[in-house]
Parts: sequence; C-alpha cells; structure tokens
Amino acid sequence: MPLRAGDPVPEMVDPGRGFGLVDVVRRRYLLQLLTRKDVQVRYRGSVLGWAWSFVKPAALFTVYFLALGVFLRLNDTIENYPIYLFSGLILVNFFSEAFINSTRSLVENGPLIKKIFMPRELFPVATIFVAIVNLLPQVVILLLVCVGVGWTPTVAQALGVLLAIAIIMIFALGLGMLFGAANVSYRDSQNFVELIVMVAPWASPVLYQWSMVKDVVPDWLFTLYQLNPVTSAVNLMHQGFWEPTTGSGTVAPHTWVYAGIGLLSSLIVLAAGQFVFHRLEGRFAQDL
Amino acid sequence: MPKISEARTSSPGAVQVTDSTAVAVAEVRKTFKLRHTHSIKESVVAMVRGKTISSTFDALSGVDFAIESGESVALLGFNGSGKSTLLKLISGVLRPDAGTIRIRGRIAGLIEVGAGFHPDLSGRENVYLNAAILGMTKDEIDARFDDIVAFSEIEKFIDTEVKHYSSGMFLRLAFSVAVHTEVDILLVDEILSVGDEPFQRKCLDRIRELQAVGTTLVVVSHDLDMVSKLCDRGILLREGKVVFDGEAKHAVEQMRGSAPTFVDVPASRAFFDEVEWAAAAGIAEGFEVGDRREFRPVEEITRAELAELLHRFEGSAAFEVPATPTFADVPATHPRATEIEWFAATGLAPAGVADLGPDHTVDRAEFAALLHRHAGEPAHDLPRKPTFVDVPLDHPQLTAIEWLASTGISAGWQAPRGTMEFRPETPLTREATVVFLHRYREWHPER
Repeated sequence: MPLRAGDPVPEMVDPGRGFGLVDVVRRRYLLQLLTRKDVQVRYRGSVLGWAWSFVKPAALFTVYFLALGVFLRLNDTIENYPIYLFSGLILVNFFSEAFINSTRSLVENGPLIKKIFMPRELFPVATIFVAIVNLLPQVVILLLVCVGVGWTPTVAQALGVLLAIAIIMIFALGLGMLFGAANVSYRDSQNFVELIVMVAPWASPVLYQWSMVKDVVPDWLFTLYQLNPVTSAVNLMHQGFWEPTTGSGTVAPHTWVYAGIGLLSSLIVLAAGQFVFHRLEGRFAQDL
Repeated sequence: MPKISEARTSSPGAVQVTDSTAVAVAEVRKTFKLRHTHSIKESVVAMVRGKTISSTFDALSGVDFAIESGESVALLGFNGSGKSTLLKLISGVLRPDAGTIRIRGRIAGLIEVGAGFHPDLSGRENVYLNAAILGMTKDEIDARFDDIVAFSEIEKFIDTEVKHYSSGMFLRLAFSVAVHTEVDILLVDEILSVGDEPFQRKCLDRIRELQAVGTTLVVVSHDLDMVSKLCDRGILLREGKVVFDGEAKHAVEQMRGSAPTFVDVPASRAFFDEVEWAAAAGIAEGFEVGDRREFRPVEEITRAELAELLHRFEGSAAFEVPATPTFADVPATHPRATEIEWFAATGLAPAGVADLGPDHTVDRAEFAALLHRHAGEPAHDLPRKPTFVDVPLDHPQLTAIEWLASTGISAGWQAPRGTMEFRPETPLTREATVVFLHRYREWHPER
C-alpha cells in the first residue's frame, strides 16, 4: 500500500540486503510454492513419473545387494543385511541429492536471480525440501519392511532417525550454500561436488560394517571417520531401523556422542555456508 | 498511535532525504568487472602467461538523486547509458560498488514480465508463484486473484498449462500479476510495449490508477511520447552520469534534440542509437574533419582500428607495452602499438603469426571467432542444419558463427527462398563492428 498520512513511516532500507536464512523463514509461503513447483515439474513428461524416485534407489539397492551382499557374502556376516543396506543407502542418497541440487540451484535459477530480487537462500533451501519429499516414500517402504520382520525400537532409537534426517538437512544445506555460491563464478564447484558425492557412500558404514574399518585402521583415523556428520547420521539410521530388527546387531559405540558432534559440526558448516553465501551474493546477478 | 516525526533531513552526499523520500540514490557507482576466464584452470593459465584476467568499466558513476513518495520518474538515455543498470540497482538485483541506495516501503520490479513463470505450471499456479516472488502473501494473492485473472482476460484458460498459451496471453497474465502487486514503489522497464493496442491502453490506465493512489513509479522506456505523458519528472543519463534532472517534457526534448555526434550518422540512420552509444561510451571517436566529426560507417575496419575499439570497449585498461613487439609489422612506434599489444595479450588477436597486418580488413567470420573467444567460448549445441546457407557444417568458423546466431547478436541477411546468409567473407564495416559490440554487451551486460 502506498504511504498515507497517518501511517507509520517505514525506515529507509538498502534494497538487496537481507538477513539470509531468516528471510527464508519470513518468506515461507514462497518457499512452499517453489518447493511445490520443483516437485511438480520434476518428472513432467515422463511415463513413470514419480515412480522414478522408487526405481532409482531400487536399482542401486539391487546392484549393491548382489555385489556386496551375495558375491562378497556380507549377507552372511551382517544380520538382516538388506535392511542394514537400505536404511543407510536412502540416507546417503538423500544427502547426495540435496547436496548436488542445492549446489546447482543458483545457476539453474539464474534467469530469475538476474531479474527479480528475493532472498537467494530460498533456492538451495527449496532443493533440500524437494529431496525430503523424495526421501519420505523410501522411509515408508523401509518402515513397512521393518514392521514385517518384527521391529521393536525404543523411543530414543526412533527419535534418532529424525535427528539423522535433521543432521543431513543442515549439513547438505550448509555445503550446498557454500559450493553453490562458489559455483556461480566457477562451475568447477559442481564437478567437485559430484566427486564428493561419489565418495560419500564409501566414506560411511553404508555398504559394510563399521567394525571392518576399526579392525584395519589406526584409532585416530577411525575417530576421524566417526566425526563425519554423514557417518553419525547413518549410525542413527542403523540404530533406529536395523538394530531393533536384529538380535545381536550393534552400531558403532558412542552413537549419541557422535550424533551430537555431527549436529554441531553441521551447524558450523551451515554458519560458514551462510557467511560465504552472504559475501558472494552481491555478485550473483552479474556473474550468472 | 504512530507519531509522524517532524520532517527531518539528512544528507548522504548531496541528496536531501526527508520522511517522504521513497528512493535515495547517493554517489552511486557501478563498475562491471569483465572476466576473460571462466574456470580456475583458465585463470591460472592466464596468470602464468601474464595475460590480463579482467578489466573494468563504469556503467554508472557519481549518480545522485532522490525520489519523493508518489512521484513518477522516467529514466531516459540511449542504449548503454546505464538506465537499466540503475533500475536493477534500485530493485536490489545488483548492488552498487560505491555510494548508497536506500528505499522506503515495498518495492516490485516489472523488470522483465514473466521472469518467474514456469511453462509446465497452469496459469493459476503461475499467478500464485509470481505474486509470491514479487513479495505478496497468500492472503493478499487470494484476495486479488479474481482481479488479476479478470484483468488478463484469460479466465477460460487459467487452469491450462502456460506452455499452451499464445505469447500475447502469456504477457497479459504476467503483466496482470505485476500491476496487482501491493507495492509502494513500482519499477517498470519497457513493459508498456506488450500486447495489442487495447491491452496497452488498459495497462496505462492501470498504471495511472496506481499513480492516483500514491504509488511511486520509476519507468524506463523508449516510447518518449508515453513517458512524457505518464511521468512528471525525467532523469537523463549519458555514459552512466546524470546529465539532466527535471521536468519529463524537458528531459525528452533534450534527449530528442541532442545533435548527432557524427555528421554522417544522423538520427534517421538505422543504427543511430548504437553509434551514439559507442560515441558516448568513448568507444568510437570518429574522424575530425574541420570542426565536425565523421564516423564513416560503411568504411571497412582495419585490424589496428578494431584493436583500438575493443581496448576502449574494455574500458581502456592501462597496459605496459612489452620490450619486444609481438608482431614484426607493429613496432613500438606504431600509433596504435599499445592497443595492438593489449589485443595480443588478451588472446583476442590471431595467435602464432609473425605479422598482424594492422591495415588489413577483418572479415565477418574472423570477427565472429574473436567475439566467441572473448565470451570465453561458451558451449552451445550446434544445430543439425546450418543457420546460414553460406556457413556450411564444415566451415572453419562454424561454432563461432552458430553461437553468434544463437545469442541473437547476428541475425544475418534474408536470402532467396526464406534462407539466411551470414556473408562470412565480407569485410566488416565500422558501423557493423559497433552494432555487434553493442548487441554483445546487451546479450551479456557485464562484459
């Protein structure tokens, strides 16, 4: 509304300066629409549509299960290996998708960023929510399978799953903002991210068990391995879904301690991501 | 009760700001950095070879003005004068490199209608998405949705995907969303050229309604008649500086009346704007003939002249001439030695040749290749059929010329039977060079 006599006079502000992620919360309706748009248009024009979001993890699961579970006999040594594998795999896939798409989100929305001002953090944040929408049906399938084989989690174990998802959201968003901001000027960034994502499933106990790492590496290296926020989140997933379906399965020790550290380091990464994003943001519209 | 404080004034720079100021622009400078490299590898290679990685030019400098709430202001100037950059600065899309810009109240820019439209969503979904992008809340959109649709006159198709719309329908809907946003300051860039005559009139009426309720308007348009009718005030920009600020009528008169820089490029000439832009930006100086200046538009450009134009296009960066000349036929004493050495150092000049041939003409294919290199050789898909009949798929400069066509920098000429030709071997004229450079910058303003 135009200013009228009697209205309080708003302060003069700098256009184009915002409060980062705080603005995303303020503009949550727009965030909701952007997320919905991405979800809606994602599989437009394909016959299978959203079935693709099941086909891809199913294919990946099958390949790993055959190669590692059957041929390399992990299925014999790890109890309920399919559940172990699937619960870790969907989380790492969630991380990969969220990380890659948030890194690319600024370049992909370049035309909009160049023409209309809005909090640019909206774009990476929206991709994280799209990745969640992709993750949820897979969690439901996992849940059904777990219930089918006799799932008896404690409340803490079940809540750990939510913490795992939260850690990955925060960690992927922080990294995505960091690499996404760099990607505007140097597209090397997204290739580097693809590299990280390629390594991710192997750098956490997703396909194999944590004890196999502990047996062969020095203690300090194992500690480093445990400090990876993705590892801490994978352990929480195993603790929530896999452990309660087995008799003797145990996840790595100090799961909660490392989960706490993982959450904290994810928050630090997010703060760093926001800082770098804010520093580079002024150049987005002209570098895209 | 909110109390209105006494009108207080503060002055950042020379600009008076009061409680009713809507936009304050003080000592604003916007410099574009022209990067010649686009990956870390390229940057390192360029550094090792001692080539320039970037240069700069000022799109705006020392711009000061304040706009009062409820004013309607036109930003005027030839292409390349910096008026669109200024609009983007006010909207917050770009940020100034020096000086300050402050605004009061909600702002929305019609900088390009339909920028946020997605072809796969329905008209209804796009209305919600775009209104939200322009800063409206869900309740505000719900309340205005029917007005927006009625204004656009496409009620029947509102639930059809936008990709099935005609371009007219698309623009009507996009414009309708934009003029129904609740804002204090509305930025309008060339918007009023959309749609057919009756719709244009309707748009103007709507904008007058907004004016009547006190919305501040900042308009950029080439339609000078419309601008002088719609706006009270005009700010004329030339070469990134304010040269006139006053009544819109007078600003338009001043812009119209400005005598052409070159006697041989009158305002009636097709590429007058582009040549004036080159003159204003200091890219083309022309030739002094007595007390008049000539541009000699149809004369063929030489390599030395081209080096000089490009050097100025890049902001005339200072450059140290190497001790040994790069080209045997361009000694350090050559009048354009600096520009030509700069030309060689940026990697734009033909590489691996002993002689440059400074007085040689430049054919259109060679220039296409040069611009393509300058743009960092952007990747683009080659069409299966060549765009131009005289640039077949095995032409040595096919990639560069197809890229030039894909960016719209070159449209070529109409040839018989609806085909297009590029005339790759034709020497480039001075006028064509300037037109290409102008379109090149419009295509990618920061270069």
